[in-house]
Amino acid sequence: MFKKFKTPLIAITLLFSAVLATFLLQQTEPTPLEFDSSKGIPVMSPAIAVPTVTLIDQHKQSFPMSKLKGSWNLMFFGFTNCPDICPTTLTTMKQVKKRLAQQNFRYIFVSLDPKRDTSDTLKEHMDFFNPEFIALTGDKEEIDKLTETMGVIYDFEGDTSSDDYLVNHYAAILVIDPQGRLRAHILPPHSVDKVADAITKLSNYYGN
Amino acid sequence: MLNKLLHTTLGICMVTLSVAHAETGIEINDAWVRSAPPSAKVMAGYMKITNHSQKTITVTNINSPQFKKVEVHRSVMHNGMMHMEKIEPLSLDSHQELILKPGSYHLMLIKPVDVIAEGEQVHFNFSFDNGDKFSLMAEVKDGAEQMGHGGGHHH
Repeated sequence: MFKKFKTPLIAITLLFSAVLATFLLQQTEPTPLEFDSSKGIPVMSPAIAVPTVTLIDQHKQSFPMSKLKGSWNLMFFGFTNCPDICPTTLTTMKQVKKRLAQQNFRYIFVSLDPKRDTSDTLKEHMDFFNPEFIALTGDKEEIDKLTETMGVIYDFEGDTSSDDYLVNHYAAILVIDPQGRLRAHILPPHSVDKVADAITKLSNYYGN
Repeated sequence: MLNKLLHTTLGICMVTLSVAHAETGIEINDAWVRSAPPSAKVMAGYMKITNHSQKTITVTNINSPQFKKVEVHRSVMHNGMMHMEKIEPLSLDSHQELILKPGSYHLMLIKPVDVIAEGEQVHFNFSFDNGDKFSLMAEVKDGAEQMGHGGGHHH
């Protein structure tokens, strides 16, 4: 009796699973949001999961990347001995935060120079720009796992055994969604309007 | 020689925001220094430098008693990375106007002698190969206003 229905039952189950999978995929990955190409805001579709890396914040607390979940994040990589680009970008992020004060976005600075950027250095730096910013440092290996996945290229220029060296680095602001996935790059130059507009549109479009 | 010496001597002047030898050579306007955390080992200075003369003029020296060293740098994108390119020497073509601004040309101010806070002034000495010499003061500020007005735009 049951044998007679076995084959159609399997077929129906498979079909149902396929429909469900298609539906779920569409739910998790809507049509990509596109910005005007002149804006320099490439959107990742599908979004790229941030690797499970643990860094240390400016309060010497452990910061696993899973903490990125739950709200939208703007992340910038640099070093505190950087005279022009990093303070310029942090000043822009500070103004964006002020403009979007009602939004619960996180603003994160990741050091590419852990040798010189200790938690204490980062704390002083963030106290100057905005104490609510999160600043991360840690083992170079951990930082490198993060930068490799996120496409953040960098190298050192000068004698790294001295105190006089520079870090050449990718200078985009990365947008990470509330599932902890890299969703977009905001390429420089960064005006407050451009960054505020990008994060607002992305968070409205993709939601939480 | 005497003429040049006289020019140099007469050329030394000091004003707060703008210095100019408008007829003969170099004019510097809108100088400011971006404020930085107290432990900062490097800071950046910005301004507009104009060469009003018919000749190319080259910067021979920039220094400040408040910093160990002052260099001219440019932030420039190269192979996807932001690099700092040392500009040495900095030359201005006839009638060129060079704007030093965030994300572009800037004075890299290396190792402040003492902590320099927002609202203070930084004293710069400039020398040029046409004999122009300037002393000028640049205010230390966070730069949000400067960046809001044209920051990131190219002219």
